[in-house]
Amino acid sequence: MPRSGLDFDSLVRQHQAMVFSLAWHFLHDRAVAQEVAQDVFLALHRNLAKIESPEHAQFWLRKTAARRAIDEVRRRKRRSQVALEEVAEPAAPTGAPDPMLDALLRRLIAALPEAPRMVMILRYQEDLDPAAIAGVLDMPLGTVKSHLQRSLALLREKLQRRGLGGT
Amino acid sequence: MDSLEQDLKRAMARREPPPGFAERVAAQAARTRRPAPRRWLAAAAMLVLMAGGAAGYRWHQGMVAKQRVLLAVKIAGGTLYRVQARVKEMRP
Repeated sequence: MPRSGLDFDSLVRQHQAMVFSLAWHFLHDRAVAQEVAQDVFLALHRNLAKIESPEHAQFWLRKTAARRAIDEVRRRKRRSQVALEEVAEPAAPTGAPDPMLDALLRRLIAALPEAPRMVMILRYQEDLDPAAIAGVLDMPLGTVKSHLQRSLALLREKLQRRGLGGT
Repeated sequence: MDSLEQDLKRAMARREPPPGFAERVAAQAARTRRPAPRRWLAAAAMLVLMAGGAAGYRWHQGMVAKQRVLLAVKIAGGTLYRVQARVKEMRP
């Protein structure tokens, strides 16, 4: 029984979207993301006695999901590391409807190298500020800010090149 | 926050996992709750069996040796009896 009296099933229901989405946005593969999310929750189950509060559970899950997703990419070597500048530009008509823009943005994020990719996911999926991202990823704050600025600049450039704005 | 960042927030919004995900996780976690077969228990049982086997073998070897000693004593006793009888016959 955890010290905090937290219920495992409730934690799964409460955080499943967060854990699954972190893995999915990072891996860009629903089946693999589901496996990773499942592993994260089973790890939580094994470590439930160490979880002290609901906030601790959320932090622990974010950190573990980020680490497992990165490990999964390294292990499977499915995706070759491609710099954002080298990504082929998907055809997207000017003034594309939002679902297309959303899909394009997700593809561009998914093409980023591991570290800036996870930083961007934690920033825009989880709405974490740079200091919180640095805490989750055990990364210097300056590095987090640099990844954010550089990734945003690259995305803006990509979008402007095809007339999709990105102010 | 500029428009790109707003677009990113929308594009990167959380998604629910496939239906039944939480139930599958709970079921798998329940399976891991079962006590795993304890290796040390199997090893201890094996050790007891080996020790018992060795003790049994030693007991059997002891019984065989005892039987041999008894047989030897019996044979020696019979021979001694016959020798004594012969000596008595030879006396005047």
